Amino acid sequence: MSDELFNREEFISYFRDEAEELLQQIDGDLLKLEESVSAGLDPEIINSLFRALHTVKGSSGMLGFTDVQSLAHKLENLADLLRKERMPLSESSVDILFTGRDLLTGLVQAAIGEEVAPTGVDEYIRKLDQFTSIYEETSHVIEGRTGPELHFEEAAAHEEQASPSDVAAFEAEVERLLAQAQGKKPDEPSAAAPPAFAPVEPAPAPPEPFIQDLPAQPVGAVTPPIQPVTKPAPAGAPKQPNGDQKRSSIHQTIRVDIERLDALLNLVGELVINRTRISDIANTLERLMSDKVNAAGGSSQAIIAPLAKDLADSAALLARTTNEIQESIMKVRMVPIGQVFDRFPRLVRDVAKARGKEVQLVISGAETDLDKTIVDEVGEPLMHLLRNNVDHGIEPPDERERMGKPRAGTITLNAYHEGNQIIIEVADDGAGINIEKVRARGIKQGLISADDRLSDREIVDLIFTPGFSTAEVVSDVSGRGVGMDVVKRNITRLKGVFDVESITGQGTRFTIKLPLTLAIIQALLVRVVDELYAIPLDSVIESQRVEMVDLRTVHGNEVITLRGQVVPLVRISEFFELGGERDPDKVMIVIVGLQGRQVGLVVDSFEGEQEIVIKPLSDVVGRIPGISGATILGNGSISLIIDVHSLVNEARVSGKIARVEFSGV
Amino acid sequence: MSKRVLIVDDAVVMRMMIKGILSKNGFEVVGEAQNGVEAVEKYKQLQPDLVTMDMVMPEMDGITAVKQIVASDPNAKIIMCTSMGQQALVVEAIQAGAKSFITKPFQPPKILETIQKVLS
Repeated sequence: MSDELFNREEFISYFRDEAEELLQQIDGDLLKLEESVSAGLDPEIINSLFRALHTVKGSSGMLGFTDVQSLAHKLENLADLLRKERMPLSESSVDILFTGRDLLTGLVQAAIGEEVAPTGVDEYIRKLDQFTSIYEETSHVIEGRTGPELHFEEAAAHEEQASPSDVAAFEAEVERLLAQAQGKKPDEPSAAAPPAFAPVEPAPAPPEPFIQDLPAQPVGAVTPPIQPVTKPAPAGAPKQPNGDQKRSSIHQTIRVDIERLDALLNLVGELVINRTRISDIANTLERLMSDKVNAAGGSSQAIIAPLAKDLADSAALLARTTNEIQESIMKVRMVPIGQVFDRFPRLVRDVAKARGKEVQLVISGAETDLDKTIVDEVGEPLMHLLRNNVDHGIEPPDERERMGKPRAGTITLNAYHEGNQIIIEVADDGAGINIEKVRARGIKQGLISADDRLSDREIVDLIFTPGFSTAEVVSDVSGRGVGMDVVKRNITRLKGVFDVESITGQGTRFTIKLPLTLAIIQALLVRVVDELYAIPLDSVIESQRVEMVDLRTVHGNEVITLRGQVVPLVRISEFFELGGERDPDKVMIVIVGLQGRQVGLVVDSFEGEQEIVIKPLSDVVGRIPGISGATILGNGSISLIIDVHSLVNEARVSGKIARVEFSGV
Repeated sequence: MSKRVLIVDDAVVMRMMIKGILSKNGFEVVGEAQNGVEAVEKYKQLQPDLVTMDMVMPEMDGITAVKQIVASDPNAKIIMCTSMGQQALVVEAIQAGAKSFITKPFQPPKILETIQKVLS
C-alpha cells in the first residue's frame, strides 16, 4: 500500500513500549492492592489499575490484537467492580488479577510476535467470568441497569465488538440518553441516532483495525453497507515467532529526556559554526595561494600567523565539542535502572509465597542511570540473585523468630554511581553462606580435597564453580539449572565484576560493578604483521617482552612460565592467518585474564593505550570468532577489536592453544 | 487555513493514530496532552480550534478537563473519545460542554465526519 497512513511496525513498537510500561505498572498496583487487602482499599491504586487496563484494551484494539483486547477488557471489568465496591477486595480477587496480568503479558508478547501465545487463556477467562458473574448480576440489580447495556460491555469483550451495528447501537443509545437528559424527544434523529437496537441501515465502516483498510477509504466517503466482518491476520505481526527474527522484527526504541536531546542539538550547532570558521580559513588560504604577488612578498609570515592561530583555535574547539558530543550521546543512551528493578517486587513476592517465607524488598537508587544495553542485560542475573536470596538466604519465619530476628526477612536492592561505574548491591539479612556446608559440598563434588587449607573467602568462591549447589533439596525456585557461575559469567560478559560477602547468621551481600557504557572502552593497541588490533584494557593483566629461550612447547603449542604459573600462548598472526615471520629472538606478549585463567597473546609490538569507540561489524561480515567489532583511530585508520573470550575459546576448539591444567586458585 | 487540533489521550498509540488521521487530512495537530491537567494547560496556551479528549486518564479525567476548559472558554470545541459501555460518562461529558463523541476503535471516516460537523 503506497498510500499507507501508518507504519504498522512503528506503531507496534510504540505499542510494545507502552504495554510493557503499563503491565509493569499493573504489577506494582497489584502488589499494593495485595497489601491493602488487610489495610483497606486505596481508591487511587484501584483507579490506576483500572486506567492501565483500559489503556491496554484501547491500544490493542486499535491494532487489532483482539485476544489482548478481550482479556484486558475482562480484567478492566473486574477492576471496575472493585473500584465501585461492588465486589469486596480479597486475596482471591488479587490472585486472579495477578494471573490475568501474567496471561495478558503473554498475549501482548504473542501479539507482537515475540513469544508463542500462552496456554490456558480460555480456561482462565471461564474462571474469571464465573468469578465476576455473581457480582455483575448484583450490580445490575443495584443500578437498575437493563440487559442491553450489559450487551455493550459483553460486546466490547468479544470480537463481535467489531460489528458495526453494535457501535451504531451504542452511539444511538448515547444519543437517546442525551435527548432524554435534555428533556426532549430525539425529534430529528441524526444519521447516528436510529431507535436503539433497531436494525441499523447505513452502518459505519467496519471497524477493523484500520491500519490495513484505511488507505482505501477516501475522506468522507459513503461507507459501504455492512460487510461480513472477518478479522484479517495483522499483516506485520506474525502470530508465531519465527526463529532468529524473533526480536529483530521490532525496532528497539528508547525514551529520551528532551533536555538531553537539546543539549546534543546545541553541541551540533557548535560544530556547524566551527565548520563555517574552518571553511573561511580554507578560503583565505586559497586566495593567498593564487595571489602570487602577495605570496612572493616578504610579509607571508604576517599573513599566515593569524590564520594559523585561527585554525588552532578551531581545532581546539572541535576537540572540545566532539568530546562533549560523545558524552552527550552517551547520556542519551542512559536509562534509569529502575526499569529493571520495577519487576522485582512481584518476583520476590511470588518466590517468597511459593517457599513459605516472609520477605520485604527495599529498593533504592532506582533512578541511577546506565546504558540501555546494560540495563537490558543485567535483569536476568539480578533476578537470579534475588531468587537465591529468598530461597537460600532468608530463613523460614519460625526459624527467624527463634533466632530473635523479625519474622519477615529484608532484601535490599541498591544502585549507585561510583566514578565510571555503577554499583548494584543485593543484600539480605538471612542466614549467610554456610561455610561448612559449602566446604563439604566442595569436597563431595571433588572441587577441593578434605585436607586443603582454604580461607573462608576461597571457600565462598566455590559457589561460582559451574554446577555447584548447596541446596539439599532442589527447589523449583533456584538451585537448579542456572547457578552462580552463570550469573558471574553474565556479569563478566558485560565487563563487570561480581563479588559476594557473607557473614554467617547475619546475611549475604552480592555486589555487581558494571561500566556505565559498553560503547567506549580503554584499549591497548597492538600491531601484528601490518594490522592494528585493539585489546580491551579490562582484560589485559600485563604486557611483556619475552626471550624465545623462555618459551616451551606442550603438545606442539607454546607456553611460558610466569611466576610459577604455566601460561598458554596464542599467536595472533597465526590465529588470524596473517602470515608474517616469527622473530627468532623474542616475542611480545599481552597477558589477558579469562575467568581466572591467564592466556598470553603474542603480538609484534605494543602501540599504546587509547580510548576507543566500539563499532559493531556489519551483518554482511557476520560474526568472526575472536573479533567483537572495529574502531576508527584518530588518524583515520581502522583497527579490529579483539574479543578475548571468543578468541581463546576458538583457539581451544581448534587446538591452537596448549591445554594447560590450571594450577592454584 | 488549516484547523488547529489538540489531542488528549494517555495512550501514545491512540495519540499517534488520531494524529495520523488528522494530519493526513489537512488538520494541524498543534499539541498533545497525556492527561486532563496537561490538557487544560495546553488549551490555554495553544487556543486550538478543536480538542479530541479521552475520558479515562490519570491525574485528571476527561470530563473534569472538559468542565475546566469550557469554564475558561465557553466556545471550546471538544470531541470525546469513548469506549463502548461508557454511555453514562459520554452523556455526562456532553452535558459538561463537549460537542460530540467518537467511539473506539476509531474509524477514520467517522472521526472526520464528526469533526467536520462540530467545526461547521
